[in-house]
Amino acid sequence: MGLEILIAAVKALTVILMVLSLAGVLGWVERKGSALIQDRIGANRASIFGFAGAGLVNTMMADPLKFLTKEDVIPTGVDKLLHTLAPCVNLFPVIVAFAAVPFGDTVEIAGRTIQLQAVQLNVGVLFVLAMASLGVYGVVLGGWASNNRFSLLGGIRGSAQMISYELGMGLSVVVVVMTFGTLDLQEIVRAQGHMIGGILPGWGVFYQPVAFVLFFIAGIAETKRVPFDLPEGESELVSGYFTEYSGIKYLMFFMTDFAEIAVISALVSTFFFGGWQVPFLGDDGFHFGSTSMALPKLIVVLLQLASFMVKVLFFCWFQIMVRWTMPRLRYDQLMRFGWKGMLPVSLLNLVVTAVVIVAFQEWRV
Amino acid sequence: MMEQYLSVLVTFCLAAGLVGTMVGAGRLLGPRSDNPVKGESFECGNPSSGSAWGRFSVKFYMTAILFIVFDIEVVFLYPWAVIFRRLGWFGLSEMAVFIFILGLGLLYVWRKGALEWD
Amino acid sequence: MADNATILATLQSRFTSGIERSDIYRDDASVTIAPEQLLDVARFARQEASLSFDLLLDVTAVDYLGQQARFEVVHHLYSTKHHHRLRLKTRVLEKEPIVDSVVPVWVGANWLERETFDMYGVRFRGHPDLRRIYMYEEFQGHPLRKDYPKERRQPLIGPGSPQGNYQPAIPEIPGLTHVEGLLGAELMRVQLGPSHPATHGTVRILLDLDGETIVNADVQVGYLHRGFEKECESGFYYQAIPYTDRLNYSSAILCNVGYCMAVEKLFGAEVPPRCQFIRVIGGEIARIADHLLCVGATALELNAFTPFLYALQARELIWDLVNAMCGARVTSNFVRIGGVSADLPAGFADQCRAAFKRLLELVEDTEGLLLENPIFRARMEGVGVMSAERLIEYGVTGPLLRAAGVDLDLRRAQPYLVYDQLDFDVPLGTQGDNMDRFLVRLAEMRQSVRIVEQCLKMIPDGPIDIDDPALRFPGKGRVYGRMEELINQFKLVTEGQKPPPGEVYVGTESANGEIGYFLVSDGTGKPYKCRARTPSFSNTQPLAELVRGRLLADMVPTFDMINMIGGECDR
Repeated sequence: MGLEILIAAVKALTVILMVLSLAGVLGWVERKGSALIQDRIGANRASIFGFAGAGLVNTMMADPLKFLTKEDVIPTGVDKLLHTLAPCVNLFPVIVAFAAVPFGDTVEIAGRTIQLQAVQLNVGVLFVLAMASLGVYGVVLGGWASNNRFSLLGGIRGSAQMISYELGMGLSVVVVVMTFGTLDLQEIVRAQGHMIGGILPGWGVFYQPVAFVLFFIAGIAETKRVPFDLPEGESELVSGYFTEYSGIKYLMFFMTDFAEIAVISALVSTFFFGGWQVPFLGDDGFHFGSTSMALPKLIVVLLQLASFMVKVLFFCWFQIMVRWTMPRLRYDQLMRFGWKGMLPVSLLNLVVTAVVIVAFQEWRV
Repeated sequence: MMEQYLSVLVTFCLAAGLVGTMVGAGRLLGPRSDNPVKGESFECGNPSSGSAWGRFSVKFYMTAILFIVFDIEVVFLYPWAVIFRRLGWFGLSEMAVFIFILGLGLLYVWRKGALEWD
Repeated sequence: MADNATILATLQSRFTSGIERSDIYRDDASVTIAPEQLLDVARFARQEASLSFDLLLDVTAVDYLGQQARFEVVHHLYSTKHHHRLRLKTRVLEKEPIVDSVVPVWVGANWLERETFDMYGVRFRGHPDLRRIYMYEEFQGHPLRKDYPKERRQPLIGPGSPQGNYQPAIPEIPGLTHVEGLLGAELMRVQLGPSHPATHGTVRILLDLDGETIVNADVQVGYLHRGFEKECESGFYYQAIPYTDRLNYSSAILCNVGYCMAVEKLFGAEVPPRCQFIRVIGGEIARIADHLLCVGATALELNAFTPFLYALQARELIWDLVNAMCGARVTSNFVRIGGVSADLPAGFADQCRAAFKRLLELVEDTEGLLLENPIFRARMEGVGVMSAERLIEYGVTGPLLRAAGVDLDLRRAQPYLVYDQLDFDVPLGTQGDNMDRFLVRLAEMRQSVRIVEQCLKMIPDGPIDIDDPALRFPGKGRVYGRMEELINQFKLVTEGQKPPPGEVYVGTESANGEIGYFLVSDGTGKPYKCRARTPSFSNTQPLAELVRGRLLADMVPTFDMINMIGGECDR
């Protein structure tokens, strides 16, 4: 039992560190990437003994340290407990949600089979969705506790937006569950290991392209980033639900933002792009039709890990690109798109999928 | 079965620890200096116009209620989605009726203008 | 277009008794009317088909201290149909400075009369909301009165003041249209600005929100008020030029040009052709800068950050050009009474062409990111619509009015400088929504580039300064060489240029609309009255009406497209 806990703790710690460093790296990607897009230089001020690491020192070390040593101003009128709780409630579920995502297949160490997944649940999909929907509490608590009109409006906007897009997200995941017939995230990834017609990877996106688009849009809306950054909406609401935050709590909202990007990217990879699967790569090496190339197990596992990371980073980069090219939607447009666009389309997608699968099975049987 | 949830518990503890450490470290490392002006809530440089904890527009509640209706629908879909292959046409028709009724509901609120925000 | 004599004759034939005086001075027609006749004359001037003065440009007052009828309330009118102007003057007594409000005739008189009340203490009978506009409620006295000393300090108010715990009351929004929201919900009072990310000119907008919908709005300006008129009246004519820079600091040269033209008109002088071309070049370059900032800031506030930086990168090229012309970038202080501060540098034409080439590429990038984006279109199209008639009634000019389809560009309607020799288009919109305003500004930038390129080809050689010792400072070389020139220079610097007594108004097309200078000379070296009619002030006035009933987020592009420049609006 003690060993079990140790293994679980090591895996959980790995994942948490992964999320934190991903958030840091994304901060760097966002600042340097936007600079690239906008003909600027970007973060380059901080350095250690002259080493600036192309801005990495700035974003991964100087920024967090500065936030840590900043005063945490708590205005007099706020609800102090909720004000402190809000950033915690915001950040906590994102980290936990990431823990349920499988980042590799199994490895055998000292005769034990260890799943490369911190939280292995046979209802992983439900767990992830549940955690993702907890994020709304952080927003609404932060907005309410601040006792500021801009925060309050941002909080209400945020909650309305997140619950509206949660429907589209939930419905597009139902379709994925129907396609793979399981709620276990690891099983969903394994089911994407085959090749369609020997050339196309058996990724979810080729079975459910509509669900992919819906899920990705809803995901960006859940992360509250451009074009869905209305809860923050600085030209209207100053800083939205975290107007009254400073110091480390502000950093926590900021980190949540990046961690959410990472989670959405991880989920998109898992549901629609084969997670850690590498095309043509089996347990023992590559198989191209009749020819094959044997590889040691360790190399296979590392390749799979790399594959997962590459996919996650690609979708993170994509979301950051979107942020630097799009303007912001208006509240009514956002709601109209969510309720009159996403919801009916995802319902229709669900019905069509169900009919096709059942008919196909019946016909085959 | 329990082992699965053991890892959940461990992850929860670690994540909560991390979050708590961050807040605590910020409190320990950050300077403190309070004064009445700093304690005012931000209203674009104007003196505060009182508490913001008032009643807000009923339109937001409408969204919340609609969400509950449709989210429960989604929750009902999950167990069905796992085993609907085995249920076959029977399960599908059952679910079709369910979705049809909810679709009617969506059509109703749409027509009633509950999905208009301007 | 009726000439001035016909306008005055029409008025005189209709109002036989009320008109006390009418004259034409330096091509400006003005009539002095009895206070009780003001409203009738105003109504007639607006409704009579041959006059149709539908645009009230300005309301102000002149303080003739020591005279029985101390205040002269001045209205400047313009006809968008006939393109002619008229000045209405009304004398009111010092004891009882009351005159009829013309708000029933032109709704845009609202703020202008409030300003006159604030500055001079002249009250307007029948005004719907006669509050102070620039000064705070507790301010004592009226700062533009001649007996208000410029040095007088008012007690500081607010936290940290000697008076201590002063708390200004939350002002009531006048003319509430709604007091409660849907199903009796409480309205949320939000104060937007003065310190708010979207109010890049300091302005406070009080909003009553029902959910996301704006039900009431009140726009409060004056946070950047620094007493432009008082400062100008306390210095010589030439000393006011740097102040005009600070009116519209994003297109300073255009403000310089208008002022110097007004002083030259007081003298009845005309600058040499080369100077006129240089003024046009400088002005059009400044106009591009202003439009770039407006276009970029709009994108930024809709959270499209990248186009904003492209626009600013393009504006940097403009600042380089301005730098080459006069050695300064933003507040250029370029134009002089009777000339310009420096001739164009060598190779300026090539520098200009190179800069424009890159600038147009950047503008295209900005456009490409915005105009083809469905979200941007959805945010701009159909938002902030107001009919052309209503805009005119508010006194709105410039790109805002042209976006509603009104062909009013003073460069074309009443050509000044060398605009009549240049070939350019006046871009017009059709809907009058924010998208049209945006497109009109983009098109105007291209026209400005066209104008500058033509000017660079057509510009003649010759002197850049007027050859009139009473007007233009002699060049440094002449001062050092000849005694008489030195004496002249000394007298001009210490006593200022002294135009003959009289009053003139000059309106020019600045980046946001008509910027007009109303100068009253008493024959001394200092202007007796120096009034700037600024487009931002009149353009900001309809904001409350534009956003009422719309969503909170619609305020952002509407406010941006109005392009309120704080320095210009608050003077």
